Amino acid sequence: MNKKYYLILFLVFILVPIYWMVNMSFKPNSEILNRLTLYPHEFTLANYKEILSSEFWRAGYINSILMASMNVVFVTIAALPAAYAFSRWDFRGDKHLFFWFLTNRMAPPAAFMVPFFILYSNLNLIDTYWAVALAHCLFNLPLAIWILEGFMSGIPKEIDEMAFIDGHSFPSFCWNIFLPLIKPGIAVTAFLTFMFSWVELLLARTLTNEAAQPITVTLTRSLGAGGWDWGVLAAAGVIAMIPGAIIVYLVRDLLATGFSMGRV
Amino acid sequence: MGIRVENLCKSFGTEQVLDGITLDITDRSFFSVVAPTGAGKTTLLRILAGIESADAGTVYYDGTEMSDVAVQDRSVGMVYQEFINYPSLTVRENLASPLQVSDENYSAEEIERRVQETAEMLKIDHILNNLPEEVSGGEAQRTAISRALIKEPDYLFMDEPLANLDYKLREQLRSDFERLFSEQDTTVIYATPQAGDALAMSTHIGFLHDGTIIQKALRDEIYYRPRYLPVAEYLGEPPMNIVPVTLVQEPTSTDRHFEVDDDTRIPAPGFDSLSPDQEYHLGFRPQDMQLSDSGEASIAPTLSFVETVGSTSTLHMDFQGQEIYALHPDPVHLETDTSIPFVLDPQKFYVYDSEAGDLIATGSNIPSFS
Repeated sequence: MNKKYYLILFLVFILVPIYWMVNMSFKPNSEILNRLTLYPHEFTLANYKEILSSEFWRAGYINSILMASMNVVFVTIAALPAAYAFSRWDFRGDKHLFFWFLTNRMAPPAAFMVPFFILYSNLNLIDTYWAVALAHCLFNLPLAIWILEGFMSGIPKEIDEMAFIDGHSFPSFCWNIFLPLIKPGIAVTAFLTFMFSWVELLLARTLTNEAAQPITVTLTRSLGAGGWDWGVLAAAGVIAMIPGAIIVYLVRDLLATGFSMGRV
Repeated sequence: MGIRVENLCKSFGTEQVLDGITLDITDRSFFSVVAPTGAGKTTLLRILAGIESADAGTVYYDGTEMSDVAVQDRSVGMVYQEFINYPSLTVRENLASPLQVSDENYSAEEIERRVQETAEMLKIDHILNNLPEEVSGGEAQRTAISRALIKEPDYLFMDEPLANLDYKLREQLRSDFERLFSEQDTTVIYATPQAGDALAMSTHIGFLHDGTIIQKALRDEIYYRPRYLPVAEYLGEPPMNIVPVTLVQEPTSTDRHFEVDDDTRIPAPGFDSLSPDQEYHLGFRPQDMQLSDSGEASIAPTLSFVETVGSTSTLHMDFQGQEIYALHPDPVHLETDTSIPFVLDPQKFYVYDSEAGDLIATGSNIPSFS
């Protein structure tokens, strides 16, 4: 019985900030700043109207979705063959290379801030989707390779051989036999990759100015002449949570399978 | 036709698994590679099928060198010990898969017809719509075998396909195999550590030892005339008994006997070609040992235990620290830890050189095959 109460307490503890953000997003600034209210007394949708009608905010969301999606595509395309190679073939230094990939994931993004800025400045990529999407690959690719390698190694190598003996060409084997088997792994990888890219702030902020700035950056740059507009900020935060929730909902079955298999 | 292998070598790290295998596999035969686990049977099969490359040596299918032919372009099927099917496809789709990717461009009706036909032949037509994980081990292995057979390959490789099945299913599939392959034009290459399986199904048997096929012959020939000690000690259930002996010439007569020690003298009439006072390994099959009624005995090992299956008894005995088996057609009731006197029939003896281990003489009742 006691355990249940602890769990409920913990759940409340986790959910309070989220509730507070939703709560704030329906209040006018006067109520937010002047009173502590547990629910919106002066209920308003003005904050959401402001966001949905403003080009400044809308661009942030679109940029974020595009960047995160591009990142997912790059990472998946590059990680699938890499993970297959690590999982199926022995080559000189494969274990060291695999570990080195992982260590990239361990480095703090701040360490790469300056090199990326200089590099992309020289390549004229600053303030483009490419800059952020490619920069995030540095962190997402090792994780993706590591997760996918775990899934692929869970599939007996004999299946590959069997397919070749049956007459499947390599592309036919990948498409008809292999990819369906690691679908949960791809879903988990895509989900983690998308979410990292969606919430990452430091590199995104360094590599964009205005044209390509994602929503996380927009959130930090919304200081107007009249100070912080708290209600709008909260509404923007609520909207920023929605894509993640939608993705989880769409692939929840695959995620459930995926999180219980492989290396997640 | 058939497969020819010349001087095949393969090593993993420092371990030489295959060491110069030269072998002819007769077209449309059922060829079993027999060897204990870990002797390299699987490696040999994989190289023959083309999914692994050899360090040296050449494989010919029907006279054509196969080194540069991709496995997709060979007419081969493979069945593994683990029941390997495509987990995301139903049994029906599993069977159809090799036909769908074939160069022959089968029509949908043709594929469906052959799926039905093959499924009926292997008695899996009731599970065609199930996924492999939903069927039993025996059915999963039948699915794998059907998929290997459906494109009617010239060569079918089976790597211990019965090993992971329980006894009853083994027996059943074994008799299915005999029926199936007597009707097919397929050459079967079958790897197994089970001498019994090989003796039951094969037309030819090769014995793999120390990286080479030390004897390859027709089934009866390798059974009745195992040319080397390792073959004799392995083929047969239970295997042949081997006892180290010395051939002694009686000083007062022309009689000779094999002497194990002072108490055990086994008469050796008819082995005139052997030189006396030499050490040999004497072999005799468990079914050729007769319980002695008169008390007169060639050999008297100590009984460890009796294993009775149905009406046949296998006597496990100890003879000077060595395990000896005898087969008896009726259930026997004997006291363990006592000496059991046996009479041996010298006409069914095998005599092996004690150093080289090759067969140098046999009793007159052993068929000669030449």
